[in-house]
Amino acid sequence: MSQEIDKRIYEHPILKFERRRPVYILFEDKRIKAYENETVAAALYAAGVIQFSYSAKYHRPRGPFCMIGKCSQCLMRVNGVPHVRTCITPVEDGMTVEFEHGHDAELPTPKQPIHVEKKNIEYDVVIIGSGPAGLSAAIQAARAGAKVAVLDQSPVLGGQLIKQTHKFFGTKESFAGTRGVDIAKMLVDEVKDYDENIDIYPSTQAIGYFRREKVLVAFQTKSLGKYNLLNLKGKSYVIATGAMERSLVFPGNDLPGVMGAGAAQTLMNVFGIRPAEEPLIIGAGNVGVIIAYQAAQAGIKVKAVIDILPKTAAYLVHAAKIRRMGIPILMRHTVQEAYGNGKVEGATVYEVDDKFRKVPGSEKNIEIDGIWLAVGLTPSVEVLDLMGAQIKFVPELGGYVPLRTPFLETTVSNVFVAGDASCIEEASTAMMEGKIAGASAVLNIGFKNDKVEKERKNAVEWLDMFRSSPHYARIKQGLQKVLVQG
Amino acid sequence: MEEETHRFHHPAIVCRCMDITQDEMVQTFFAMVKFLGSYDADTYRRLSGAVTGFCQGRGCLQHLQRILAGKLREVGVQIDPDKLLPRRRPPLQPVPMGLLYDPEAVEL
Ligand SMILES: Cc1cc2nc3c(=O)[nH]c(=O)nc-3n(C[C@H](O)[C@H](O)[C@H](O)COP(=O)(O)OP(=O)(O)OC[C@H]3O[C@@H](n4cnc5c(N)ncnc54)[C@H](O)[C@@H]3O)c2cc1C
Repeated sequence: MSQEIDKRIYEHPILKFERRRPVYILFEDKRIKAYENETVAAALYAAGVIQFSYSAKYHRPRGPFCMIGKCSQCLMRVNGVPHVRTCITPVEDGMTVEFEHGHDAELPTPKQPIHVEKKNIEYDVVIIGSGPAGLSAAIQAARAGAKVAVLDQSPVLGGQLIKQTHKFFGTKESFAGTRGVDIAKMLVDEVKDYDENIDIYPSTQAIGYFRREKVLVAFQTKSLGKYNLLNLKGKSYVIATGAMERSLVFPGNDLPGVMGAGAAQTLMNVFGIRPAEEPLIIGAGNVGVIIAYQAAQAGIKVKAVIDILPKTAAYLVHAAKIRRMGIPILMRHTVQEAYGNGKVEGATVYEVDDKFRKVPGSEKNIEIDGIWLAVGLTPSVEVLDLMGAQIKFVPELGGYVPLRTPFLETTVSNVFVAGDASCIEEASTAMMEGKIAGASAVLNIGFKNDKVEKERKNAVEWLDMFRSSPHYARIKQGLQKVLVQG
Repeated sequence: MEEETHRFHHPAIVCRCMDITQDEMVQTFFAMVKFLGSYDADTYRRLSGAVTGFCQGRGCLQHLQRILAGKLREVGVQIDPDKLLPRRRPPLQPVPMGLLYDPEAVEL
């Protein structure tokens, strides 16, 4: 037998990876070892497989980009079912996984019969997203006595918090000094305390909304081929769908190995898998710099962090930390192209002048096996758009975002927004927004609860205080553009 | 440097789902203006194919918008970015067809 590749991390200064029962999946006739709590995409990456499909038109090799179920680059044919998002599909023993060839899989191929169970359920509050915003909303709503549903397309609750191993900044109210992973645990535990009120739907994707009937359509994957089709009717809704990492356009930007920095973080910190050995990180803001640090903790040698701006936007402590580790931060640098045969093998970077023009002769080739893009996030507002909420383009907040009242109600009555979906900010603000939206979602439909009302007031005050720092002037400016009176 | 000249250059992909390159996006823009006389974002979306794939524009909408707004600026047309938001249709995610099929449904 040939030597098996295993990219799993077995020693980590902060995290202990609990891998459940080992199982085997079949990838293009190759047996691959996986663990029950891994997703198909993670298991493939662990085995060194970074190409998942061929693209539709040019048949270019492709691999995952976002790792949180938002892009389309991890779609594969699993147990005969085409277009399965492998990054959020847990492995099952004996699963067969095949390359997907662009759109050819659109031909119906009923290799496997599917079982669908239909459910119509009514709730007081339906929440989409189980990140810090969604969970905080659920806790407030349940506290007031409401019947709540929380949907998440991921099999694991906690949103982006589950991959953040660094200690958070902020104040006591926002869990400063606590690691994101631990905040996620605390929130999930608190939600579980209300299990009489809160129904949790993991692996559940929202796919449609009937405006007149106010019914949300979602489907839950119980196991491949077995689904629940859910028609959920909420008296109110909280949409906390988070954000998606941005891509950059440069030649070779689709080579396997080019992915979002958050995607790399998911592989490293959630699954304990090294996505690359010597990556290049593009973007030296907080995300890029923090991920460079976490890569080092995972035993990965980041070749460089580059950024086109003259000065890093990251907190200086973070930047200083990675400089001390010997990871070069190249400011005023950007990427010209990525090259490689079937996967990324190198990148050409160059320096820019004050007007962002290329400094002639400054091109450098860097040998790398991954490019991680930390170039910002875009709010995920598809569901809100479908629900009819008015959306506006506000660059300060990250892109298209819904109009909202001070209590985060959108222009559709009893539909609220919270967290990154409302404005790209941080986990601490996402939690506060979640509290406000969750409280309003129940107070608006007739629930009365002094404690919840008080929590909402405190959260509003905290956000005002937090955003009054000069650091957040831009966000405050953006918020002015989307604020409507309720 | 010899190696440099022989290197194969990859395309710059704007929309991964529909496999559309930056060059194609630009050509589509000119074709749209020339043959349809249109500056419309929805038309651009349909002609180019970007934003119409599996992920429904989560990855490429920002690029479509940047290219369209940039090109329009070149020809002296101002466009309201709010108008560049494409229409979103269900299903938001790829679903097996059998999932939505209801054998008991009656046609009205
Ligand atoms: C690398 C990195 C470092 C960060 N560091 C910090 C930090 O130090 N401090 C800080 O305060 N913040 C930090 N943040 C930001 C913070 O993680 C986010 O602001 C926060 O997680 C946003 O919370 P949320 O609940 O809005 O969204 P998320 O946490 O993204 O959760 C959204 C959830 O919604 C689900 N979802 C989306 N669409 C659907 C759908 N259609 N159907 C079903 N489910 C859906 C997703 O699966 C996801 O679980 C960091 C972010 C990154 C990427």
